[in-house]
Amino acid sequence: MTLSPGVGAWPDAGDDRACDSDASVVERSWETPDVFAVLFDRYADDIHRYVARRLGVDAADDLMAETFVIAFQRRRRYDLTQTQARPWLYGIATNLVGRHRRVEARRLRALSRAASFAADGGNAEGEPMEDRVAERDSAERAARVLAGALAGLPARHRDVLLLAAWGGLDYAETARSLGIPVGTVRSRLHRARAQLRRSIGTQDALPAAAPHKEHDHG
Amino acid sequence: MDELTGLPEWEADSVPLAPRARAAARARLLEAIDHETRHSARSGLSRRLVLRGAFIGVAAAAAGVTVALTRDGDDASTPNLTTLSAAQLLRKAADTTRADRGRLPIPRDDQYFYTRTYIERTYRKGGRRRTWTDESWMSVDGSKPSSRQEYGKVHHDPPLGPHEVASPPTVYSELKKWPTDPDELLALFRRDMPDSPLRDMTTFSDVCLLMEGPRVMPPGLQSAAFEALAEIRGVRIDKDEVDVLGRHGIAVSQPGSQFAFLFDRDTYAYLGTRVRGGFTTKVVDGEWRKTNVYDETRSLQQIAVVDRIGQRP
Repeated sequence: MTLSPGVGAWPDAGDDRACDSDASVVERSWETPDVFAVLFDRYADDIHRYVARRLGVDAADDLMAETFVIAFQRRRRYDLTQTQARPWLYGIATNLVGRHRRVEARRLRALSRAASFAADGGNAEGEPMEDRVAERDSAERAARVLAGALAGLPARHRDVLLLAAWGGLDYAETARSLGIPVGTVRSRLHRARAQLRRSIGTQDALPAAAPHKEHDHG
Repeated sequence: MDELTGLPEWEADSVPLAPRARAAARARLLEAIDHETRHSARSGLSRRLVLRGAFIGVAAAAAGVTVALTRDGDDASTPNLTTLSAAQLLRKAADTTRADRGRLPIPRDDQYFYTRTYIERTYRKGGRRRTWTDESWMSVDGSKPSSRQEYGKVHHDPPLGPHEVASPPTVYSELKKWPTDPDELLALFRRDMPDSPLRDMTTFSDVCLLMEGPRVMPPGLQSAAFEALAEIRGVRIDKDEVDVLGRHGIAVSQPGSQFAFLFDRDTYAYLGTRVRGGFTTKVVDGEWRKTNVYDETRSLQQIAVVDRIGQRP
C-alpha cells in the first residue's frame, strides 16, 4: 500500500488522484461524491480478500460492495487526521462480518470437520499414500485444524486477531477500526494468540513445516 | 507471531475478486453516489448558501445498509444503545445538532428558505406506501408571501396580518427571538399549566409541532428543543426500529403522543419526525374501531437560502 503521506494535500486537478491521501479523497468526496470511487479502486481487493477468508467468496462479493456503500454514506464522519482509510474500511467490513457470525462459525466448523474426516478416512483404509499427497494432505489438515481453533475463539477475539493477521493492521489501527481502546486490542490479541496456539498444540496436528508452506497467491 | 499458527497463509477456499463481482460492487457504489447526488444540493453556487447538514444527502440507496452496533460477543466497549436512556439520547442529539448547525447560513430578511421534505406514509394494513416530496419557499422575515407545499399541494401563504400570529411561529425572524436555553424554552412551552401528565403530554406535542416543518430553526433552538424534551417525564425510546431515507433510526416518543422524534442510531443526528395517524373511526362488529392507521415519517432533505420563490439550490 503505497500512499502519499501528504495529509489533506489538495491536488490541483482531479487527475492527481493517484497520489492523494485517503483522507483527502474522503474530504473531497464531501463536496464531490464521485471522488469516493477512488477508495474503491484502492481497497476493493483487500476488503474482498479479507471477507472471503472469513465468510467465503459468495458472501465476500456482497459484503465488500456493502462495505463501500456504507463507507460512502458515512464519509462525513471520517476522521480526517487519519491518512489511511484502510482501518476504517476494515472496521466496517468486520462489523458486517459480525452480522454473519453464524455463517462464519458454521463454515469454520465445517472446515475443521472436513479435516477429521480426511484423517479418519486415510487411517481406515490403511493404504500407504504417496509422499506428495501426504504432504499436501498434512498442509490441508493443518489449515483445517486452524479453522477449528478459530471457531473456538470468542468472536471479539477473532475480529482482533484476523484484522491483525489478514488485514495487516497494527494495534492502533485495529483499535480505531473497531472503536475500542488500544489496550483492549493488545489484551485480546494476546489471548487470542495464546488460545490459538493452545488449541492447535492440543490437537498436535500442525506440522512444524507449516510456516514454510509455499503460497502462490498474490 | 501469527506465523507459528499458519494463520497468515490460511486462505481456505478464497479466490481473487472476479471482474464481474468487482464491476457489480463498483456499480452499487456509483448508484449510491448517484442517488445522493440527485437528492442533495450542488455546491459551488456563490449567491445561494447551501446547507449541507445532517439531513442532506442522506438518501441512501441499497437496502440493508446498517451495521448492528450490538454484537453477540457483547463487548463492553462497543456502544450499546439499549443502555442509553431517552433523555441521554436527546442530549446527545442536541450536541450533534449544535455541532452540525455551525454551518447554518445567515439569511437576509428579503431572502427565502428553500426546504425539501420527504414524507413517507405506510399503512399498517396491507403495507401500502405513499410518498411525497414537498418543496417550500418561506419568506425569511415573513413580509412576503410564502409558497408552502403539503402532501403535494401548493399553498400560497400570504404574509400574516397585523393581528395574526402563528403558533409556533413559522417565520425565521420570529423564531430567532425564542430562547435557546432549554429551561427557558421548556417554561415557555409549559406556560402556566400545573404539573400533571397532561402538561407533559401537551409540552411534548408542542415541541413536535415546532419541529414539524416547513420551518427553519435558528442556531441553538433545535438543540435547546431536544434538551427540553429530555426534561419531560415519560420520554422513552421506542422499541420499533425505523428506516428513514435508508438510515437506521430510533424513535423517541412519549406515552399518549402520536408523535415521535427520529434520530440516527449511530450519530444521533436528527432525522425527522414520525406520526401515527389517519384514524377513521367506524363501527366494526358493534364496536368503534380505528381503521386506516398509518405511520408517517417526515424528514428534511435539504435546506438552502435562495433569492426568490421557485429558485432551487
